[in-house]
Amino acid sequence: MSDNVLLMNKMTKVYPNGFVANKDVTLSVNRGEIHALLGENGAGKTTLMKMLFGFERPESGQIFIEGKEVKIKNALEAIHLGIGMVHQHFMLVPSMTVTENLILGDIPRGPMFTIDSKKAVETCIELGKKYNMLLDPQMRVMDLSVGGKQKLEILKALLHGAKILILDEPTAVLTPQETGELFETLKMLAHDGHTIIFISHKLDEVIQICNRYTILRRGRVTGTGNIESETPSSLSAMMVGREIDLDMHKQKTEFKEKVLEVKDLVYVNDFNKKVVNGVSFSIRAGQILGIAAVEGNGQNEVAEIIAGLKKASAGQTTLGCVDITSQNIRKRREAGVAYIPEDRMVDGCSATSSITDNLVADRFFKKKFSKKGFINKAAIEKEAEELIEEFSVLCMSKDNPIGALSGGNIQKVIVAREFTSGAKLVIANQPTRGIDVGAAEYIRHRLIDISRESDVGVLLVSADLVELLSVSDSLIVMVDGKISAYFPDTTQVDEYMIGEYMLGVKRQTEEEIGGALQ
Amino acid sequence: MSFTEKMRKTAIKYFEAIRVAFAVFLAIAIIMVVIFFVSDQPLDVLYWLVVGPVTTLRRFGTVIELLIPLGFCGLGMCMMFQVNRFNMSCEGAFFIAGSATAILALYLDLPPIIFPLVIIVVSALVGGCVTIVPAYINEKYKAHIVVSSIMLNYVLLYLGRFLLIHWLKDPTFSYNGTPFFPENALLTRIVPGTRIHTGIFILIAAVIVTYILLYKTKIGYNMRYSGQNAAFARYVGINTKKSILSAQFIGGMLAGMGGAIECMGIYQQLNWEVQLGYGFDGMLIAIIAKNNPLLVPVVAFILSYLRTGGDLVNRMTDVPTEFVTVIQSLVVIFIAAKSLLATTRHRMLIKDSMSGKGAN
Amino acid sequence: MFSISFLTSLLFSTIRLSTPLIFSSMGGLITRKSGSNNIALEGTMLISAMAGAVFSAYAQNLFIGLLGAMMSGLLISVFMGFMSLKMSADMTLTGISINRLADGLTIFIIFLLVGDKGTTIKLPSLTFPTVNIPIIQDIPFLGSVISGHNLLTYVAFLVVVAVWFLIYKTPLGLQIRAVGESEKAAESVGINVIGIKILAFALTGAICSLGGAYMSMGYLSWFSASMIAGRGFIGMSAMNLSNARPFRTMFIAIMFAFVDALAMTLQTLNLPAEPLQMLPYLITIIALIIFAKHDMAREEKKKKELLMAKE
Repeated sequence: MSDNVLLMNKMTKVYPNGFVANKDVTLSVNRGEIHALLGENGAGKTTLMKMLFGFERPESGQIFIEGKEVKIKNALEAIHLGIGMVHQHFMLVPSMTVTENLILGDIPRGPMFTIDSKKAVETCIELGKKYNMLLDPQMRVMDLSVGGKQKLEILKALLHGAKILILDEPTAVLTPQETGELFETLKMLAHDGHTIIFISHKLDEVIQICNRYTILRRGRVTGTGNIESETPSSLSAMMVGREIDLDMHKQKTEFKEKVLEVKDLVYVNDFNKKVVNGVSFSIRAGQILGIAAVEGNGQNEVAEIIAGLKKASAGQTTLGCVDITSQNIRKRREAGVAYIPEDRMVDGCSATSSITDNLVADRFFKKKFSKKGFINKAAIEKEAEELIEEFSVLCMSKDNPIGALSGGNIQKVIVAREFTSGAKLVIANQPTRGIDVGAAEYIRHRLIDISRESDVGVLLVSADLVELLSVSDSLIVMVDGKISAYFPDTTQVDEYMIGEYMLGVKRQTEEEIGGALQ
Repeated sequence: MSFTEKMRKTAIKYFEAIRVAFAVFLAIAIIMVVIFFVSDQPLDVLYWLVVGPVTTLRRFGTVIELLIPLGFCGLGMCMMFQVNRFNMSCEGAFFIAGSATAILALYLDLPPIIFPLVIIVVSALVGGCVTIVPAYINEKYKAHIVVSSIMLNYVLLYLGRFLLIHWLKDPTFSYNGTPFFPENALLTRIVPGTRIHTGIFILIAAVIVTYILLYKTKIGYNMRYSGQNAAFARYVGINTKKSILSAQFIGGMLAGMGGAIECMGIYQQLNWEVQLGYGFDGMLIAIIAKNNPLLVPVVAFILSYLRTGGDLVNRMTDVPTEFVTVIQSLVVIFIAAKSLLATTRHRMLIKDSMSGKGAN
Repeated sequence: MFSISFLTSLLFSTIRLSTPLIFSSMGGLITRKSGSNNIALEGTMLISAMAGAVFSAYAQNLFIGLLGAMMSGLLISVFMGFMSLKMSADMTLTGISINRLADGLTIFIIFLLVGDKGTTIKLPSLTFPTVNIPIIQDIPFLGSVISGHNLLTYVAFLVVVAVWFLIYKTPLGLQIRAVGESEKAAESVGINVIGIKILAFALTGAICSLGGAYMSMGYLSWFSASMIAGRGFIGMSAMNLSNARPFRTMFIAIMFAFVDALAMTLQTLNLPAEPLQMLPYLITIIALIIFAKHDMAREEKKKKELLMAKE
């Protein structure tokens, strides 16, 4: 079992913006093993795999497949070398059928330049039977379940003769049953001699099915070895660089008056799916309410609806005692809503504008900064300097475009703007995603400070359970656009409990959930 | 830090300027090679293109005369691009402003100075109303703005021709042209021996006002935020639709002003029967000027110089002036091509980040 | 006024005028399916119209004329595809510039060749023959509407079927659609996405150039600098309005051609020309608005229905 199938030796990748995503990364994988590639968001796992699959070109480094050095310039070459990848975001054509998606790379030809659709369907059925993953060949991909789409992705890779199968966070979108099924499939494939690279940051899953691991942190390898000799905490230590210690030392406080109340929120998205379905809760001044949910269960929409970026299809939103349901974003901001958006580069900032312009974007029109329609440049520059100082944003000059900063510093700029707008309610949507540990910690502390010191209500949406538990006072869990649990006091719960609710294994009674709306 | 490292850092810093210069050079080089093959007098072509415009006062005057309409359309396109919209109707706004000017100049009578100013204001409004049409249907119905604005240009072309041929035209002329405008409706010529007129001052004023509007006022901030990242602008509470529409209205006003000024200053009558192409020229100017109004006169001057040179080439040699249009189009495409020299830049960046502190 | 002969000539011109629109819309359809927005159909047609007239005149060979037109249309289209896809130039900007480039380049070339900036009337260009369809030509009314058109007019209608077949029935079509709908999906199975897209540009160029060739070697027997007159844009609108479905595109193109034919026929009745000439462009704008409105209303309705159904 120890013959080497894949060796990526000293891989280095620098992106055009100068960001070093991988530096001298070495990954060695043996035949028939399930190899875990671990790391936090932004650690460089995806970049490494993209280089293996020919989506990115490395600056230096070699790749050996079964001992032979190869150069992989595009996906086709990777496929020919027996590499298959199941991407985190499925790479399927939604309007086409299962069969069409499957044969896309190698289309059976019939007479007169046509497609041999009969043979295509046969291939689809045969393959499904062989690997015990049956799918309706004529079904459109958009009508498949998430698990079904993933099966199709795996089949696609296998059809092209993949010997090395890369799965990028495959369980992030699956139900527990589907996860179980997937693990069975993976074990079977590994048993048949396939090699699997399993990218994840869910340690329990990794320990459950993987043989060996490689850990990346900030583009460099921080550990590799056999899973058996590791524990979740030793692995996580290598991932984050120290034992996870997120004791925020926050003090208990009495919550004051109600700042936000949402009632029966419904949102139908552009694909006509009801992604938020009757959500009600409230937040009081001084309270931090967290929302825990697997990605895509409506938590993001709830945050955007309250912020005014999306318009609810039904339901009511009240800020203090003002009904803001039909108010536009500016009115909401004036009423006291601040928002740290999930996608920093799209909603949170304007990458090509200066740091100054980004800092004052929500206030340049206010009396302090403008007179009779003309902008008071001096006042704006002073404000920007003060904010940069107060929030310790690291930058060469306030006039540089914000896009040139690191993710952590961009986020600090956004936080600086949102925390100083005089808000009564701060919505923080994934505030620490993909930024460095120092900046993340800083932002968590500021979140607690603002709620304790300025009597602000905070709504925290995060994919990081440890963060949610250590920062928020109370917590709701969302599944399928609905609240499935409400915990008034987060000190009484741990991430395993929450996990069960997030994955829909358990569900509280309506009465308990109703507690969210006090 | 070694010398080469310093050079590299400078090159990275001014990379955009280098790229633009390279694009211009490449386009001109390509056309010049072609001309060397097809022309019997390639050196004459080069001479008249480069030196021709400064050989006489009259010729240099032409450069300045042409700069005025180019400048206005450049400013107009800056407004469109500042809000990130490909509204091509500056062409139509410029054209139809000519008709408005002719109607006012022939059927209204006001004291000098006031008269041209009134005409300019009205034409500007007409221009604004024109450009707002594709802008509005784009915001409201997501109709393709390039297609609708170009279709609109055709509509305006035939509207203008209709007005000219069936109403405004002086039947005693052998061509389709209105009577010459009365003296009090004209812009004064200021340099003897040329047709340079007071419109140049209005252009300078327009450049300054547009700059202040965009970079010093609340309205301009709203527009620029909306153009740079509409999602972000919306998120900080800016009414992006309003900003985007008003910027395009102002862009149309500038083009309209240009039309009126050109008509009163140079032609002194209306005889436009085809599109004049200033809309596209404006686009080129705005792109090279990076949508900054202060750079518009500079770029307009360069283009106007090229144009004048091209016309001289047309008259003095066997090569038609249209080669300038070809150069212009290629320049836009080459500047737009982000990958042009990108590998060079990438290599420089890597060397820079490898040599120490550049790496994150 | 509305006699049979009037109607016959109106419908005959409709078909005649629909030829360039069908070619340009079918060309545009292929790039659109591959996920690109090609607004240089206009310029592509202009260049190929010029090339057709020039090549056929100098070679005195119809086939070489056609080949010249198609090659130049193909080249300019591939140039646009290359600059926008490979060199990452903004596609809209590139398209607008190509159109302008075509304006300048065609005049530049014809001036060098014939010393005239307006037309190539002095060149002995060839034209495609008109075809009388046996049997059909003898049917009263129908015969005089359908028969007797230029060869390329019939080719246009065949191209509609060919494009439909290519897009929906062939492996290449499947790949073009996959690339257009989900680049990532296509890339993940090893399809050369940029390659397919540039190939789509090439096909578009070739088909559009037939429209250009028709204008200078059928509709007229010479090239004139302003002869395309927005037909590329109108064809593109017809394609967009039908959401890139070949047969619907054809019908909308015919409808636009009808407006054009009506305007032309009415001009013979001593009505002022300009408002009539304006008509096709005005109708295009109005159609853009109406269809967009219709689409939005349909989306809204779907959403509302879903909301009602689940409550």
